[in-house]
Amino acid sequence: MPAPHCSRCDGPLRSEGGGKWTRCQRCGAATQLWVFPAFHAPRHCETRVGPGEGACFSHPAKRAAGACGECDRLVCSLCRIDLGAGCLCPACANRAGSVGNPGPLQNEAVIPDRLALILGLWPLLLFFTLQTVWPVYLLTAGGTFYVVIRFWAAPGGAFLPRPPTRLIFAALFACLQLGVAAACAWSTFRR
Amino acid sequence: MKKASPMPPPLELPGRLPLLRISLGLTQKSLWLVPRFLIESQSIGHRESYRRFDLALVQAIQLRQTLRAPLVNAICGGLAAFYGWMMSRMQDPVAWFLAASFLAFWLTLLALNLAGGPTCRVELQTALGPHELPTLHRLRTARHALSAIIRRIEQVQGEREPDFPATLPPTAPADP
Repeated sequence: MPAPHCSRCDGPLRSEGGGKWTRCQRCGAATQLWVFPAFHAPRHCETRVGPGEGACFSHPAKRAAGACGECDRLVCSLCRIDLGAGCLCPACANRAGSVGNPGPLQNEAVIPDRLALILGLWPLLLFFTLQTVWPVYLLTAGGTFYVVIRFWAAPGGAFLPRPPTRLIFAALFACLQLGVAAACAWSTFRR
Repeated sequence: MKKASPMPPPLELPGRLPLLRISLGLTQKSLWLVPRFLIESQSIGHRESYRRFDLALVQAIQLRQTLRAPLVNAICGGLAAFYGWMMSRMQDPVAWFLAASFLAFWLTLLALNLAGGPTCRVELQTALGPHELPTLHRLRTARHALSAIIRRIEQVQGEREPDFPATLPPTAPADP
């Protein structure tokens, strides 16, 4: 029977139950261990395809365990990505997780509140470089206000909820940028 | 007709990367619990990527106490003592002020590290292998976050193993 292993020395560990402190028997590291029923679940056993049976699109020697809900390709149990109601093949799952395609498999996203904060803060930090080209502040402040207003309802993107704290700070920085632009313009046209 | 219970909203778990890793890599990670998954999000700039762990497939969770906190305490304390000693020997006011600034810096780091408490390493074991959760590097935060994760895993998988494996000789539990 397999046993969990120590993350430091790879020695076998014993769970005292309930996540109590125990020591690794090999290296003596103080460890808490929680073992769940999935640890004893039988491993998937790939079956060779027989005559008259459907074969996996990516593994022709393996028996199909389902069809992709997007492209209808047959997939084996290794390729099958379960989504509760249906399943997907790895290629469709990869497409489903790309930016701009929100859903349960999304694996990348642009975070609007961080974008607004970068647009609002960085031009101010670069003041000594940008003061000679002060109209840039009008562009970045306008961009910041656009992102703040456009994404006010979902500042952390559509996937994970976040409070609008960063958007508020970004709007304040954008106001500051407008003030800096006004001051630079006044000093330029006064000469 | 019975109304379906609403899905619980994503829950952000406590914990963030160590300060040094944030400042060196300009990256931040956070852990989220959603109905079927534990999600580790990593943000760099304005982009964020997600790594999902199916709660039904988590085999084990291991928390190991590490020596990082006492090590950092020793380094910060040693450097603070060095600058304190330098300060006591300085006659020049500018040099004295510089030494005092360094002393204050190392004392602040020492205080922050002491306030953070003991450090640990948390690993999630799946069929693919172990995966470290680097945001849970403080024992206090890890306990708080793990209680929520374990509760959710037990809801999905059922009760965890009471004592495993029974064949190994028992060890004296040591509560550090």
